[in-house]
Amino acid sequence: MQQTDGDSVLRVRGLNKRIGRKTIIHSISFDVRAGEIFGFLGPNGAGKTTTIRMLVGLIRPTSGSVEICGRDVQKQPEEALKYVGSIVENPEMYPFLTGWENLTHFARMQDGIDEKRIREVAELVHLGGRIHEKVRTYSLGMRQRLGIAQALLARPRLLILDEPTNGLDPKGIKEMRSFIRELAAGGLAVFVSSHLLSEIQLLCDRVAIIGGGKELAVGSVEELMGAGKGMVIWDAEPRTKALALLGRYADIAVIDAVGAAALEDAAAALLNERSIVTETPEERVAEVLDRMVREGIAVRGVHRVAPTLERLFLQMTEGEGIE
Amino acid sequence: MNSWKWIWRVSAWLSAAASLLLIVGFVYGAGKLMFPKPNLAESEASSAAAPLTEREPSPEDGSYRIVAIGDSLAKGTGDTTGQGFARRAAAGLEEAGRKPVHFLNNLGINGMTTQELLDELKQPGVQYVLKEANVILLSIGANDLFQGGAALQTGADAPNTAALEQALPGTEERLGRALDELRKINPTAEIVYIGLYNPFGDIESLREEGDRGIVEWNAKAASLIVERDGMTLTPTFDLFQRDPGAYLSFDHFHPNSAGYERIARRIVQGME
Amino acid sequence: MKRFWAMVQNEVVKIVKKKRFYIVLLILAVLVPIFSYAQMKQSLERRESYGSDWRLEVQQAIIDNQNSLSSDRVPQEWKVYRQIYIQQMQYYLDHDVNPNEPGGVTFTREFIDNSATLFIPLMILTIASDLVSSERTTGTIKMLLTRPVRRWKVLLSKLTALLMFVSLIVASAYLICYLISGAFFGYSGWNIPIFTGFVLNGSDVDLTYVQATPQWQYLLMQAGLVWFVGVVVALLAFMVSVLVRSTAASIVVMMAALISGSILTNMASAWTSAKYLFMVNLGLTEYLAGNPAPIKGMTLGFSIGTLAVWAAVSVIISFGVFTKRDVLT
Repeated sequence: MQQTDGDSVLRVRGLNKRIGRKTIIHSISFDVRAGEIFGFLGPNGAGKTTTIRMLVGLIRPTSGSVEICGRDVQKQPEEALKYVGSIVENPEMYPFLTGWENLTHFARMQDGIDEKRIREVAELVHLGGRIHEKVRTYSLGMRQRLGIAQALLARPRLLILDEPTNGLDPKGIKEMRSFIRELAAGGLAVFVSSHLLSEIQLLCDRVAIIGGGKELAVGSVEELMGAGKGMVIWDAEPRTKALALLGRYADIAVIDAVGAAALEDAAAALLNERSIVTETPEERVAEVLDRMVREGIAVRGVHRVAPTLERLFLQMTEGEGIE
Repeated sequence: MNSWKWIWRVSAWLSAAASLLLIVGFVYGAGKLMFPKPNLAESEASSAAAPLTEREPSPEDGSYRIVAIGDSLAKGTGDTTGQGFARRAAAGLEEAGRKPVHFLNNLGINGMTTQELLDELKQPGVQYVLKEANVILLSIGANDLFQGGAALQTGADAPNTAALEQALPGTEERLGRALDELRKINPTAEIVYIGLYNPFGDIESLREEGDRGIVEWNAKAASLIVERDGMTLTPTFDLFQRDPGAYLSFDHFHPNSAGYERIARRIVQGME
Repeated sequence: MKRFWAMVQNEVVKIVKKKRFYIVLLILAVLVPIFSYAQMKQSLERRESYGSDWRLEVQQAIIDNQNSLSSDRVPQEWKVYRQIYIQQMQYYLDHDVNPNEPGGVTFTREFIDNSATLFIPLMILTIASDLVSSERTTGTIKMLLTRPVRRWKVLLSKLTALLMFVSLIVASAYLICYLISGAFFGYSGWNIPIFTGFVLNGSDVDLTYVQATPQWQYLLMQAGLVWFVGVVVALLAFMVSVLVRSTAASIVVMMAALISGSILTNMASAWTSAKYLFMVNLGLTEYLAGNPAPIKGMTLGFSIGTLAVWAAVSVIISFGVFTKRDVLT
């Protein structure tokens, strides 16, 4: 499973972190290659941020190594971090400086970034005229963009973004996704963490899934997501008849209210009092639908939704996933 | 960024200049304090040649310029208002209104003896003050004769005739020298010596011995005073004779406010 | 090296843009006129009771102190202090030099003497206590430490900027004080002789080392000593700022130390091992003025040494912790 390609920009091997007696990160290993968007998926509190902090040298790993372009972050921080742009958690900038001054500030900390480059990245993230206003007055979205501008300043080979769409409006989220894709297309390796499965599905090429500080799976998105059964929301009348019909299929599981509550927000919005949430293999949907129509059940709607991260975890820990 | 360059240049240059100056100051100051050089010229030219002694006194301006010097009586110990006879006399003269009055200093020190007075008169500062004055109120001697009121308070060493007799000649001689010294410092000032009263007047057992000693002392002081020009003795013995309790303070030694007021009135009368 | 100075420049600009230094200047500009006015009132009142002759006033001060020496109620330490005061005043008087000659320069000297242990260190704290802890409060420390720069260089750039501002604060305290008080008392007095070199032997003052120093020279030495104290306070505050996450906590810790220092120097003497605490050693200018040390056995050399040790240890701790510690939040 672990690639050792020559073009891997970020190479993480056996990363452990123990604080006091508690091990909070258990041997995490993965690679991120140039031009790919790598997802780092896990619920809040799974250890994503701690891992990211170890990637950029903010936290010293208890054991294991992080290499960026072949340089160890702990042993050669100056060489290794040269190739990384990052936003850890929120993009925090000096509020009493303007956007431009913030960029200048960070540009001065390393070689080879001139004023032209600062103008370039400022334009790249569309901060436009507001670049000379104090960061204090910026919206979260603008700060996020300024943070990315800062991360791109030094023409990095690896971009690390921690929950980049957090707090953005739907339009902002869409823009952010296409922006990240653009960057990756330009040959940049992008590492994106998220607690939203849909986010990772929409954005990433490969993904590592972690939970409780442990790495549950690493692989391509299709490979891993395919492992989970798709979820279908049925909106049909009469509901009891539809339920009885669904119950006849051995490979269709009706999910109770508790399970349904764990749906991602976008999916949860589709629910009404008639909704039946099931786990249904994709290929059975047409057949079931046909049967319903024939039995005189009025089908008002059928939605296929992505399984939630929680369901995926459940499946993985049940042994259906990849160990 | 222009403002950056500007901020940086100004603060860098200013702080570099300031740091340099401060470091020099620190090294120089610390060095000077930690390895002091004895100032030979300075120590040889002791206070006798102090620049202050060479100062000419201010010209006579037709006012009373009053200084008090001597022991706790001069200072005014026992007076709850802290004025003593010195300031009260100044106030009295002011009231009489013949000349403007400037009270310069009260140099009285608790417990001062004639010997200490002689030492004090060597101080350039004291000399300066005395030169500035044209009225010098002097009270001295009681501490030589009674070893201070403190002995009385503790009851350990009550005055007795023998001790008093023994102290008399030396005290007299030193008073004479002090008067000469004062005259030498200020050749023109009116010097008013405040005579002694019997501080033990309200203690029956000590009264008689005290009386005898005081009378003897006052007589000796009076003869020293009359021998010299421009000096007067203001008697106070009688003031505390009849009703000492009314005019002495709680320590049965120093006068109280009323007592000082009476002495002051005598001084004013003597100067009229 | 060029990179390092660029980073120092960053820190300087941040301090300026954060308006910390303006606050310091503003406080001085508000306080100095208040003190100047109070001092002017006081000297007017003195003039009323002693006329224009300062010598009479000084002689009276000497006599008053002599009288308090004979009182049993005055504690022994105070007596020593007064004894020394008397001898110094006597010296000034004998040499016909007014120790309290009013003037902008004299006011500045006295103002700095009074503010050397508490007020100026407080000014320095407004910058020093904030330097590292604020980066942690705002989270910008993550941005700072994920750049390809070693941590000790980041910290050293901050420390350099801090030391620059210590010099600027001390210098501007003098400048503002002189400019403002001069408006009240006139701008002269640079050459008034000030006596230094009073060596204390118990309660006696050895006068063999006493020298008349022109006041400008005295100010220079005083400023140097104040600067040294400022540097030490800055380094200690810097360490606290590294150790403590919040700026408020870091200021409170340092202020508590400074204030306890000024309380201890007043209580003083009985507890002799207190002399190894940095806060009782901050009164370096007292040695210059010839005032007795708060605790027996303290000399200028001792105090400078003690402060230097504290400063060195705090620098070591600052760098040790900053370069090793995980940045968790």
